[in-house]
Amino acid sequence: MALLRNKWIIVSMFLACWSLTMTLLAGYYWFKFSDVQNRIGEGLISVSLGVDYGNGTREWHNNTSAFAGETLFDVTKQVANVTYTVSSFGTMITGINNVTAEGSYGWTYWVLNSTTQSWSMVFEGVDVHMVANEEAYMWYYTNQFNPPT
Amino acid sequence: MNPRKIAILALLVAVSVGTNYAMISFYNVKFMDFIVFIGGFCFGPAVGALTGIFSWIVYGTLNPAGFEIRIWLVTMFSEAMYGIIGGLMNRTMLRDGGNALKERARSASIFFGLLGMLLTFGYDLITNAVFGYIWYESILIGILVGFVPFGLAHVLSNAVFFGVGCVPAIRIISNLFGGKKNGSAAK
Repeated sequence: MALLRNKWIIVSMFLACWSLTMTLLAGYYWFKFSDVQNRIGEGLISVSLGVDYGNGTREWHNNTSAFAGETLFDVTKQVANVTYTVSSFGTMITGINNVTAEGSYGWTYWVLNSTTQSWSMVFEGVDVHMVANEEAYMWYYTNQFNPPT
Repeated sequence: MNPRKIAILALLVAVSVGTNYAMISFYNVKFMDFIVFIGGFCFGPAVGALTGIFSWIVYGTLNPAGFEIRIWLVTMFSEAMYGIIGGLMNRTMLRDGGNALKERARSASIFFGLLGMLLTFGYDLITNAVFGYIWYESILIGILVGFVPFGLAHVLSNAVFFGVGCVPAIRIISNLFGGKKNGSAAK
């Protein structure tokens, strides 16, 4: 039978299978690579995170590594023991390193304005606000809306 | 379609659906494609296509992975492709009375293995494209994501099933049903 006698038919079929497999595998790994690249952006960034307990104690976590695209919530969890609640308004930090919100006291978060060197309140949910490279943040335990000093 | 063919069709569908459920834990590794192809090869494209369609009517409706009508329809009709191609291959391969399958069994096995792979590529590309369009709103993502590891398992397992199983299965069925020497479907 011509179909089986002609070796080039089988060779062609083998090459077709091989090229399809390799094309799809290459496409799959390209897709996975693009997906990871989109998620981590340009790669690792560095942020500084301060925690001010409102009693004169302040600790700094300088040069904390994070992936571009991570939120302040992600970074805070890296450096401190965090308790939080999740509601329809988003995620709210209720405690950092066992200092929890009580009465009118709670945790506020601020970003350092590098031009004026002053602290500005972040008007975004902690689980939404994405940190950027070289930025500095402060968690401040207070019962007011005055920036940390 | 005569009563004998209807009985054979029922038998093929029963074996196909039965093995599908028996192999439920082996995701995307099933004898169904092989059975549909053999059904088409030995009993004609209509029997092959209907084996695929009826198998999916049962297995697609009572499926542990869930039910989505568009995916169900496309898998059903893509499965029929194995049977139709099987029937067409019969006409091409058995023109000389089927002797080539005996004399060149090894070449025939390689040929069937590669044909099984190509058919599975076609089936997976169509079904994954529809899956991607529905779930990811992207045909390309569906095709790429569906290939590793499940598409790969499907293609490689079918290469083995077709390569190892086709020649003996065709011989056995030809003996059981009186053979099919001239390229026409078994009567």
